Amino acid sequence: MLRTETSKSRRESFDEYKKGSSKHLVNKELEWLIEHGQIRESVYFKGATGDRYTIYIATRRNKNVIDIGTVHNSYDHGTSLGTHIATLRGYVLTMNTGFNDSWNYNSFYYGLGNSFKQLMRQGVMSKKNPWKIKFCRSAYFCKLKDTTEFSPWSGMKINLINGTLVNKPNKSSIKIYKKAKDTDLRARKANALANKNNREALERYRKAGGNTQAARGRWVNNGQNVNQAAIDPTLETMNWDLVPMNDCFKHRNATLRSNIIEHYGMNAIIATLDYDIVDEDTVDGRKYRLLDVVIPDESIVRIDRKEGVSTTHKGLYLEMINPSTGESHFEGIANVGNWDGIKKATVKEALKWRDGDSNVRSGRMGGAQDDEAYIEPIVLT
Amino acid sequence: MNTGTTIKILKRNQQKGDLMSEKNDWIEKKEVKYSKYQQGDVVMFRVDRETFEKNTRNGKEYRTAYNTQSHNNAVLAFGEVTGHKHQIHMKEMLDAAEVTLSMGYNRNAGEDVPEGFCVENETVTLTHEEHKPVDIPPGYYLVRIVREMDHITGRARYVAD
Repeated sequence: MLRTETSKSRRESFDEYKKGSSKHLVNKELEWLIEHGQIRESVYFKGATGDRYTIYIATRRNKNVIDIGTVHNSYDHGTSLGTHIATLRGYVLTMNTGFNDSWNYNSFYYGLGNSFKQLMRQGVMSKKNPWKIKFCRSAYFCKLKDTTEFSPWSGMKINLINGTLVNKPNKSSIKIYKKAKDTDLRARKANALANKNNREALERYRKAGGNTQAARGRWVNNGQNVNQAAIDPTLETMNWDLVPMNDCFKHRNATLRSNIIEHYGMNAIIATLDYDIVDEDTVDGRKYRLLDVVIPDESIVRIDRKEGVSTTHKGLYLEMINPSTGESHFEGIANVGNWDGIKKATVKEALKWRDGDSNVRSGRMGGAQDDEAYIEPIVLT
Repeated sequence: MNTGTTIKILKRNQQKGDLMSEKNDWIEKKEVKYSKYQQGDVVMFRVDRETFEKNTRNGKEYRTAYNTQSHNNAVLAFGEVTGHKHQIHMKEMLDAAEVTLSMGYNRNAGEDVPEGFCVENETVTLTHEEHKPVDIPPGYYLVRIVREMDHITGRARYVAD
């Protein structure tokens, strides 16, 4: 669309240009502004699907320069000024650093790469040599028609006629691109291995006489937890010798994992894993230990922005002596840092989480832990 | 009883549903005082009557009275795995003793289970097949099952006994 305060003839010129086919750009309106626009004339576009609240405005600053900026339009917060995202000098597009540096960081989904992608969706792209862009795990990958691949960076210049880079990627962009590629490669390998592990574990489970289909029906009972033994009689009859203990780390299906844990027992499984003792305490004469257990991830891939691809994760387990039977057993505790996890990795915090003290105080069934101390039971048997 | 602290919570302007509203105001929430009794995986929080009624959802219509005349046992929690019960044997109590269970629907169990109970007139004894008995003095109690996090399946759940 054209926004101008000039004469009717200017609008007619704009409309006439739109009737014909464009020469270089996919976006005819912007091409008109480059070819025929006068100073302070603007064309603007509403963002594409998923970016509807953004309006892109291109304004001719002087004879050679066109500024592209954004305005955000939302129901909750009204209209607000966005960022000066790019500059056009002739047909060379330069991506700019805006007022918010973190959003222009090219490894963020909503950063500079996203602005470049949205411009591309608006047709700010070479007609004859179009490029492709995608967000892959931790950064945007842009691939030109001449097979050059890079992560968009602040200050990048791209020729909109022949679809080539005018300047070379800076060090930061190269580093982010390499890291993202490496993460992608490792994640793909780990995923392939995880798929294989899951497939083989399922085969073993079926060969042992287990019913994997029954484990898929957790939600059929109107969202209620169902007793697996009641709906799957094969749990009693299957040959558990064919299902090794570490298959509980290889299944993707949590119910199948639970079935294996149920059979072998958590104590036996934890005995095979590495752990650190985080805290030891004696409460009311009973000994407790809080363990940070290293749990293998053999069926899923965890990708952290900072730590990259990992093949293990950690979980807190409280080891306790059953006061009545004298047996030692383990119970899992939500990790520190989880939204409803414990605040400090101590035995008393773990007991507080286990008993639900904070929930009784707040009157809610779930939620974050409060800062109150653990209250010991008057009687515990 | 142990005491909690006064908690200030933010009351939102729910009519407009506007989180950015300046009309948000702070209200003081009354502190919850309680003491705990525990038998295995069942924790009983002894609270005042107001807290008890606020935390047992379904009101009087779901409450069931157990006494020495009408019932043998009042079951507070039932072991899904072992079939063992945390229960109070009413026949061993004085005639005046009475336990009123407040039942509430539990999605995990798929049925009504005791959310709390009230003991009147006499200290009662809670028994279980694997745990030592616990003497429960008269008062209002909220019943909670201890929970555990299964890091292998990624689920938090109530401990199954």
